[in-house]
Amino acid sequence: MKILLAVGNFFVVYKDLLITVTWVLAAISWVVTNKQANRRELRKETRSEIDAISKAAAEVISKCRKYYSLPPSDPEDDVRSAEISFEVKRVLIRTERLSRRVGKNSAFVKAKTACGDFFDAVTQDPFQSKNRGVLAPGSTELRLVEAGVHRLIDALEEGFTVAFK
Amino acid sequence: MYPALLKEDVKVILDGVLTLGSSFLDEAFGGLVRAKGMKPQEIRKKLTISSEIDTYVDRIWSYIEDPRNKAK
Repeated sequence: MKILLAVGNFFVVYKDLLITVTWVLAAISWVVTNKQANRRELRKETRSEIDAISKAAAEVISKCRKYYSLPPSDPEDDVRSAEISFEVKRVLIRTERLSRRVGKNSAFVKAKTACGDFFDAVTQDPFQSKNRGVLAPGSTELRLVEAGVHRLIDALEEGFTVAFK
Repeated sequence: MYPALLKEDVKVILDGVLTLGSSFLDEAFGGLVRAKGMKPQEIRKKLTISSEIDTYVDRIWSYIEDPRNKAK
């Protein structure tokens, strides 16, 4: 009986404090849940963006193969090179934006460096040269493009792992 | 750009350009060292490069500071 009275007294005396504690706990749990939901959403968005960038970068390989398989005298030559340049620029912009947005812990530093290699590989000489020859799929230039794209995709995947480990 | 750099500080704004090739940037900026004999430190003091794409700026400075420039 004494114990019951003591417990009753405790709730009477600390009623206001307990109400406050309840609100504080509710607020903390809301903050934690909200943070986790935001992180889950960011993870999902980052995953889709990496997939989209990787797809665009991979398409640059096939566009380069097509571009170099025909001579510069081909009537569509300028159109093809403009498409490649456009894709390269979009890949750079999207990767840099991703790096700024999810760049905590410098997760995408390697991806930014890989962007430079990718840009170099695709737009190096003889890209957009009117004196260039036709290149075979196994040529050094096209292999460099493939290597640049692979490095970029690998760096993006690694960045994702680092950002959301 | 070289004559301007001899006289004053130069700011190059690359925004609004659809296509920029690494071979062009290397020739235009790395060429300041290779062809015109400027020192990378000297270029750093006088040249400002602005672009919405950081990769362009990073690459340009790497072409300017490429150690192979001296050997070429």
